[in-house]
Amino acid sequence: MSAQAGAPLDAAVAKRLQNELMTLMMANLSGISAFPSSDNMLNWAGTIEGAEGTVYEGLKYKLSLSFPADYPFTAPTIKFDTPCWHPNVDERGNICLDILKEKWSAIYNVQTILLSLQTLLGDPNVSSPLNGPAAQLWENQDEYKRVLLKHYKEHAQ
Amino acid sequence: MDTSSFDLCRTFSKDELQRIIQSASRQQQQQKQQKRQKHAKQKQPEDHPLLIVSQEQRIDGLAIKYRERLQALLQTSGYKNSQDGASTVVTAIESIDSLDQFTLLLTGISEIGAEFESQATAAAAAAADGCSGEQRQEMIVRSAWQALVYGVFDQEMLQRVGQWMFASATCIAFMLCKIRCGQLLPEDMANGVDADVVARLHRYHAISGGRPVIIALEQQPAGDISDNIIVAQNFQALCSDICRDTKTRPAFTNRFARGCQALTKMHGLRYTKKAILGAVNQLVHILVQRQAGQWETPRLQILQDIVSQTASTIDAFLLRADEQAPQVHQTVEHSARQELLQKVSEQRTMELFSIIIDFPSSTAAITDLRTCVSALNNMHQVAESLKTAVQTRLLHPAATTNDILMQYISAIRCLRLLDPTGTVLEIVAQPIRQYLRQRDDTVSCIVQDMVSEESELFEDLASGSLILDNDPEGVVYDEDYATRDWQPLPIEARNVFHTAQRRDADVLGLLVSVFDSKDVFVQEFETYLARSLLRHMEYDKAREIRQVEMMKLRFGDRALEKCEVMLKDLAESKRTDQLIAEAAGDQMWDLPLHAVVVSRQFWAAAPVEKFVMPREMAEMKEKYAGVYESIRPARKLEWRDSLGQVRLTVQLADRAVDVAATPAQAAVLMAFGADGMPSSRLTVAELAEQLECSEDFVLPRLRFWQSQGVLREVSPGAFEPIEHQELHSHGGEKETGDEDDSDSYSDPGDAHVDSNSSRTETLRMHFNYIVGMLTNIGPLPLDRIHSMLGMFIPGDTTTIDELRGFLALMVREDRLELSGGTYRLK
Repeated sequence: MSAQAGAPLDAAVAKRLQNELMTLMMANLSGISAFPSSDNMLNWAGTIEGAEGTVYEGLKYKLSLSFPADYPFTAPTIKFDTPCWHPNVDERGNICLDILKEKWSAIYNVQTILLSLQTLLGDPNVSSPLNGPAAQLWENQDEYKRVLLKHYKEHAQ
Repeated sequence: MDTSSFDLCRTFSKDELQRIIQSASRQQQQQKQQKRQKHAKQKQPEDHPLLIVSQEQRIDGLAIKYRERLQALLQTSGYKNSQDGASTVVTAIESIDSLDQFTLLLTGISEIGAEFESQATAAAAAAADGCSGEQRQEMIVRSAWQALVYGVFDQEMLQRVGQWMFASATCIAFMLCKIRCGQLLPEDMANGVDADVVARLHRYHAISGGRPVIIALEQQPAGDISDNIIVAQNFQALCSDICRDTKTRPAFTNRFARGCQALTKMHGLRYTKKAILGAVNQLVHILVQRQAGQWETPRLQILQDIVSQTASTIDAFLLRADEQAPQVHQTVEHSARQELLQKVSEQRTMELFSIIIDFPSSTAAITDLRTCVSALNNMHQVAESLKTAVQTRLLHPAATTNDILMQYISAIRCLRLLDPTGTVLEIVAQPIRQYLRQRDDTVSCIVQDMVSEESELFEDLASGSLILDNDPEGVVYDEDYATRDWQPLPIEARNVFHTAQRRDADVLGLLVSVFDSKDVFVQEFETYLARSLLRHMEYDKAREIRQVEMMKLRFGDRALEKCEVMLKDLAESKRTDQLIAEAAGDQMWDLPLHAVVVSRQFWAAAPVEKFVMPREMAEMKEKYAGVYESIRPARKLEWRDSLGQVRLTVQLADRAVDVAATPAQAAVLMAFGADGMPSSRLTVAELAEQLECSEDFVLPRLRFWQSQGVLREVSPGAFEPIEHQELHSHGGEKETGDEDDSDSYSDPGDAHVDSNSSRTETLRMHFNYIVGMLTNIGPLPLDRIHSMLGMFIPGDTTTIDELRGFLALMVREDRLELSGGTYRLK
């Protein structure tokens, strides 16, 4: 089935992803999770929760992870499926994170990516924003939280 | 009768009619004169005034007189005696000279009939019986006919007359034909008759075998019916009457052909073609309908003969009738054969499910269907229809797994015969296989069937080739294959290989391939073997050895290594036991204990049930273990108390009962005899305390003894031995006499050498995966979870049933939630 849908999946890539899945499943970290979304090993669905002590605490975001055929030599494409109001996330869910772009390395894996994203939620890089208003408001945490929750309520639930 | 009807039909023109009436009245006059002479000699009965009629009166208004007198007579006498009435009517009819008179008379009769309906009906019937002479009958019919045509009667009368007068098959058929051809009556009247009388006519018509209808058709004047469709329909209906009532083929084909011939003459070939085709189709339809449920002998050939013969008879005369005939004939024969194949195919397809149940006695039906299908190329419809039947009739909770398996096995054999390429089987089997996968007991049913020596599967086990595991790609391919219909397969060699593997697989191979892995069968067999080895405490296991050898043939040596070890353990135990018995003999011990020493790793885990062994048994165990440890140093016996068998002789006050029980059952019973108090009464709670186990453990064992007639429940939860049978003969006999009953109380510990617990542990490790997929993908149904686990966990061999059990456990532990067939996280 998988072989017929889309590009043929390299056995090495499949094995790598299978191992990453196992690592992730066995690690069983709270607040991050991901799983292949279909029979195709290259497309995963992920979930991250905002870390404790940040404005994103208790908020849950769905992600889609799409792995290239030459993974891990090229970074996976990761987007927020749940609309996310965040300085480094644009309104279509694209993420600005260096390790997913120029600083990608094959030593990263799904687990580290998800952890990085979880960290990014609570610790945005306001100097290179995709969402200007959010970046400007970041300083004012109370107001930020109010707007964030309003946004989350409107879009995410 | 035939001659008369033939005459009747042929002489239907007005001139001829008159001629016949004239000759008939001449004859009647002669008869009347004879009769009058007879009357003169005999004594004239007083109450028959009708007979005293003068010659003059007869000329004018005779019938009116008759009618009046008849009325008077009937009304005054109340017409009590139908025999009198009958003879009156007969006399009246005898005296008739002309049509008009008869018409009037009939009117009279029907008027009377309105008042004295039942008597008049009887009289008319009697009259019809009385009129046995051909001439007279013909006369009656013709008169009645004319009466109808001239509209003498209103509709109600008409029906009544129809009921009275048309008891003769010839008349009926004739009338039917007329009515059907729309010639007889104004529209409304025809409808009125049709509704009530025609049904009756049909029945009477049967008596005459349809022949007069055809004759009548032959006599039909040409060209006066504009609506050919009505003619065609009528002809079809007539044909179906003929078909229904004709037993012999030649007679039928002749008649049929003559009908066609008549129709042709009537309307010319142009109009006839449609009618003949319609009629032939009708004929085919009825012929095929009659074959319903007759599967033991081939029918198709016979039907084809009939149809061909009919067609060729039609051909013979059509050729003479018109030069277009060959073309028509070709169409008729071709269409008839096609229709036949189509109908037979439909019929058998409809019945296919039942045919499969009856297989192999229904082989002939399958062969017929195969012929049809190869001619019509409609295999796919057959498969789809059967698939639907299977889904509605077989794959539901009411069907036992064994039934489903039997039907599947039968379907495999049947459909292989029907379609050697295996396509139908693939299509039909797919839902069955899918369904079987969901049943918990499928594997154990198959395994039990497989190893029982009288089953068909056992032969397969002995004869077939090694079963390979399905490779996952092949399984995917299977489903594609089902929708891909008939096309030759333009697919990679691997897939073709798999098809070939599936196609050539025997029944057992197919059953095993229901599950993705043959391992489940091996595991089930291991469980089965462990159970059967431990159930009866004998070391001689020829049957089991044979089963293992058979299994090896199909599943490979390596798969059955565990079983080999089990058998070896048995053999080893036998030797050890002999040594121990010798040692015990040396010590003058009575040691009626024989142990099976098993290697723990190779046997399916036995459930550990803790209870206190009775003192006697515990002592025996100790002695046995002591000797064992002296023989096999550095080894220690670890007893599984719940397994094994104890042969007991229960000594009661008035009798002794020999029972083979499980150790647990024995322990429960022996608690009653403990401490030298043979007849003590114990409650469930006391027993549980004494045996240091739960009440749930005790109760089923108590029930077992209850069913054996050894114990009885004196009050809820309290039991005591039945020392004197006659005092409790009622309950005791009933329960001991019922073998099945005691089976249902069989020991739960007995049947379960369980391999489930270790699987559950494996599955707990998979739970993270399940949480992962439910978190990220959302609620999922069982089969998706199963397929995902299989896909993303390397080397996972969880079966869907194990998974279902595990998920149910998770639901019980409140970690998952099952709603609408999908699992979600709590």
